[in-house]
Amino acid sequence: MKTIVDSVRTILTILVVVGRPSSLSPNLGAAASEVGPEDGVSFGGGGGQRFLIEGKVSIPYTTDQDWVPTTRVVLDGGQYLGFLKNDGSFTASVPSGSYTIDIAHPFYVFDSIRVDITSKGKIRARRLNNIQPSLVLTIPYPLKIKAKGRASYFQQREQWRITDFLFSPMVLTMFLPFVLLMILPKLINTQDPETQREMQQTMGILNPKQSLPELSEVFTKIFGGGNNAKKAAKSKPAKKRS
Amino acid sequence: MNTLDFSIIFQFAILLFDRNIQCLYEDQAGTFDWRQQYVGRAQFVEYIQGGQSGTRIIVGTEQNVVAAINGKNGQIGWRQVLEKGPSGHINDLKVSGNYVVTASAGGEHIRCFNAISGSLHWESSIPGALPSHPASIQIHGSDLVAVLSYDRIVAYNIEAGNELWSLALTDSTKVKYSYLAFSEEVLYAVGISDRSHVSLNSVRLDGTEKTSRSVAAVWIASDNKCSILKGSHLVCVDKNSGILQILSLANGVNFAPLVLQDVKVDYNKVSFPNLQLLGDPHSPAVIAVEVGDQEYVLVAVENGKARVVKHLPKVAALQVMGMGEQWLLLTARRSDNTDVLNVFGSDLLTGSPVHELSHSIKYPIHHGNPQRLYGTLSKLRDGSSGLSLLTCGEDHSLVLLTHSGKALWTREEALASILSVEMVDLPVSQIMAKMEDEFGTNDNILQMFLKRFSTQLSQLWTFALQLKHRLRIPRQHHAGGSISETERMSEEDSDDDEGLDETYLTRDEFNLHKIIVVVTGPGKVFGLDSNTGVSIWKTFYPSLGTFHRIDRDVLLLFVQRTTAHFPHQPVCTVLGKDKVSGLPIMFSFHPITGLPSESAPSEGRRLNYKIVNAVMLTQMDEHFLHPIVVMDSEKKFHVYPQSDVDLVKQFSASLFMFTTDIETGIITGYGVELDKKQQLIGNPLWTVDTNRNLQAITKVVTKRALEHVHSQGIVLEDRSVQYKYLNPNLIAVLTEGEEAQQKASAFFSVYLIDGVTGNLVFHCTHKKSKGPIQLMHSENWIVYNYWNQKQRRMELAVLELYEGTRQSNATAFTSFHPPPPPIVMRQAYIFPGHISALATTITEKGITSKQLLFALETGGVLGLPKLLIDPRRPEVLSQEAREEGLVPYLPELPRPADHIINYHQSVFNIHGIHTAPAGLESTSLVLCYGLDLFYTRVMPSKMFDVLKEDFDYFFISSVLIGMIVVSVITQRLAVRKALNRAWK
Repeated sequence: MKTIVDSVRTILTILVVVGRPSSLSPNLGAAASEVGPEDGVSFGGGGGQRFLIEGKVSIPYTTDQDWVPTTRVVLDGGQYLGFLKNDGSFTASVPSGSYTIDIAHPFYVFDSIRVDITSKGKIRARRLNNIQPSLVLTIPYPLKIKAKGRASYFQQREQWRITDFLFSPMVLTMFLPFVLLMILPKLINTQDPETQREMQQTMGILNPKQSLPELSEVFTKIFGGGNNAKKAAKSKPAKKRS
Repeated sequence: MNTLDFSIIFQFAILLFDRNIQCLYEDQAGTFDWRQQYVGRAQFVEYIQGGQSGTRIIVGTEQNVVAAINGKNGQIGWRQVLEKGPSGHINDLKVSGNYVVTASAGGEHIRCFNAISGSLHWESSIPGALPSHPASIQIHGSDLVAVLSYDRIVAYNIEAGNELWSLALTDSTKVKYSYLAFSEEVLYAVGISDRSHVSLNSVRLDGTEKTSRSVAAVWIASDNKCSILKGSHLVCVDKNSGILQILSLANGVNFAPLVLQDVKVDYNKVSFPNLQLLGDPHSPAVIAVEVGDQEYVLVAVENGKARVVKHLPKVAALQVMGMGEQWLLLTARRSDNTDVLNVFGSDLLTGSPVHELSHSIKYPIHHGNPQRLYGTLSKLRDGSSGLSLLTCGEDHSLVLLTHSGKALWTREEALASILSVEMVDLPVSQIMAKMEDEFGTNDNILQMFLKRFSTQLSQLWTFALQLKHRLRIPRQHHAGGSISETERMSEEDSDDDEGLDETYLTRDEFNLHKIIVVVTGPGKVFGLDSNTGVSIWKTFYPSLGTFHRIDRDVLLLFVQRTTAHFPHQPVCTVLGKDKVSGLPIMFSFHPITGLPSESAPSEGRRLNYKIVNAVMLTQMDEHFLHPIVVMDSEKKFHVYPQSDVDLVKQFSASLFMFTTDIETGIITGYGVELDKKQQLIGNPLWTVDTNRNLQAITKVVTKRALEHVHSQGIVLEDRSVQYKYLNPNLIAVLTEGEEAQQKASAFFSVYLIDGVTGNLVFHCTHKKSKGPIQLMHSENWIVYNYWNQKQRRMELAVLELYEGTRQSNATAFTSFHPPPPPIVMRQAYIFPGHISALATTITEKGITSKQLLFALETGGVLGLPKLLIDPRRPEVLSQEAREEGLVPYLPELPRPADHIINYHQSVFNIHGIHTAPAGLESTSLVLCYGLDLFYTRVMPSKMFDVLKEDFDYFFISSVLIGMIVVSVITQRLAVRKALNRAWK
């Protein structure tokens, strides 16, 4: 994983992207050369032999045929186009070369495909992989393209739910003590002398007031004793502020 | 496996930046955005009558679109956009039954569409077709389709789509076969051999050749216009002499000439007579010859002889149609510069008028003259026949006129060819203007008090009105984003009502409501309401033609004065060239009302020299008007308005201009000087030769003058500042070429040149890469895309320029004392898709982070934050980089669906994106234009300056009220308790 990422990185960080098929596995390089890159293929349109790319698009999520006329098969960003017949099939006549196929529909998303045609007319289809163009993951030809799903163009709006409200920190900090203060005393019968005694005991444990000195007293002891120390402590932040 | 890992990383990256960018909620769709779909200028129009779906009008257009338009309301029933450019150009379109057959690119694509649904029925391709040689189609009976291409005739069965036969034509290298016609059971193919002869081939319906002969015609040229009349006669016009030549296809040996001079046509005026075939194949053999401007001659042909039937002076458009057994001639003419179109119907053969078909119909002046008519008759309930007439106007509009004297619907197809866009602020409301007025006067206190009191009262009143309006609006907007692009007549009537509502066309709170001024190819200028997309005004300038620059048409639009300078009126100026003389022409108008501006002549200001360059100065004169400076081919400068010459002279020392010569590949920079006669003249200062032999200049991109850069630099992790190289004079020049040694290996270069000194700031070359390249230049960065031939993928490169840790001149940038060569940071990314237009958002103060907008060929407009297209994205995310907020480098950019700003409102063939700032810093207004229009607002850093639109007012106020109520109640309870205790 890491090596491949690194090799792609080095290729890409150089702005003039120099392809380095050697850094990829030699088998893949051979596979690519068998198909033949664009070199030697005329793209002028007209002239030259043309080959037919065939395929069929289907959307399993819908039963009606309304999607057919609004779907376009876009080859190489619109250089060639395919239009769908009623059954979802399409053809596109192109010269030999390598083409990316995108299915454009407003509501559904499809996987992009690359189709390679040799000069003899041998056709091979594979999943489009922009990062490693020579990696071949063939898919059956003639193409059978299924919609991946509906495109989620929109964010989900947050809905107001009672649980969200109740468990929000604000509510928890505000209402929980309130509940404890109001309801707990009611639960315990404060009139009962036994419980009163019990409570006093527990309070005594919780509030060891007698043993600990008051916080304010501690401060007065510290600062009241030496005026110099107090002044020094106060002047420091003042300086910083200026 | 690896791809899987990558996708996981992508998702992580998406999560990272997802928080920073505004995405739409589903209920927001259509609230502030709108889309309009167009078809373009109609070339072929066919009617399909009746059926379940009513009357449908099938059109084939110059913009390579085949579409069906609903005859009732003018909306698009279905639309298929064919390939861009010549490979999708529609040569011919024919309708038979429920099928539409089109031939494009000389027969490379023969397609048959279902006329009801718009889906493809079958398609085929003729081998050896040449895109430069237009194909033609003929349909015989109800099943045979014959297509004539460069060197053969191919016949198909229309139902099954199978090829029935194919016949090669002889000598196709010399003979240009262009005309095809059926006559009974014979198919004729006619070819023209330049200055020599005409070849006639007749073919039987089973594909066997019957005869092949040629007729001498020395006068004929291959670009001659000919027509085949009723499958029996070939009619050509000899361009030089203006003689009509007629040949019978079946047995004609020689062309029979018909001298049109007999009809007393002033032949000196006729430059190039056009032939227009009238009527359907069953109508009498009559042809209309356009002999002059709005002047026609009707010629009837019988047995190889022709005779002039009628001379029709002053007719804009005409058509022949059948009514029962009768053949009728319809002519249309605008009655002198009024909104009325006079339609006359007459019997074709006898010439007697038919009153049923003669109407005066309202046809607004902004459509220009009708160019073509397509009439149909329908039986009305009372037994009389009603006429509905589709007109294609000079402004590319399609208007369906009815016998009631009104337009049923109008399609403004000019908007499919927008060339320039500006968004103009609306003026402040009268009350606001009055408020500001207050500060200038010297009234006494009582007057001032009364004035203030009255303005504030009226402010309250308008607020109440607005509240009422706002309560009414949501119901109107219920239809969501489906604003119809057709303006029905009722809407046009309501335009007058809108005029009454004065507050509508005033600036809103956040200046989000604007007028979008668009200039279109046919010379029609629109003022669109940015909230709804409806045109508020439209003006047609019939003489306004376009400049042609590199690969596209150009019309320049300047906002010379904005609405900010009350009481001065705002002024917009459009600069183009005269369609006839080819000399520059300028029109000035008020951008809010569309009326011609008072200071400029309404028929346009004609300039009598060849224009080389035109710019609008950023400086203003004493009337707050930005002067336009035009350089002519003799390097003289002209200033408009002329009174501002002194101002320009004052600034001449700091005024520089550059010109790009595409032919020679030389860029020249000029300074402005005064010659002996005290006239402004250009002084060449520098030249840059891009070496035309190797490469051609394809793009020159400057920065937008309006742009503000808020921060001068970026803070690095060590707290030092990297200052941006903000050279306002920097121009980016793109050149493309082919490698000489290697076959089919393209390269391109990017040059960054200082526009004042000609200093080459930076230069880089991409090998084995080709266009189409889109380049964007903003702040201190440049982004462009290209096709990597080697890796066969689209890549996006970014350059960022920095001065370094020291800024050489903090107050102003000067090109004469430039800082040391900038540090250039660059990186490339894989872009998952093909880009047809590229733009960046612009905001009022430039504080909001930038978002890049990509119009994709698949119909979406993708908005990605600049953060992702940053050359400093590190390979390994260190602590420092994380502190700076950098996203780790990933080779491929993501394309998440929720960043498609036009969601499912796909738009096609977008060739430009215009962005404009709104009054809110967070918001940028976007108009994507091409075949379709899409307008929206984008918030690249979310709406940080306004409460979120889903802010829960109800919850907050209910909590507040609840608290108050509770406190009041508890107080009372406490009082009662205290009282009770006191009593105990």
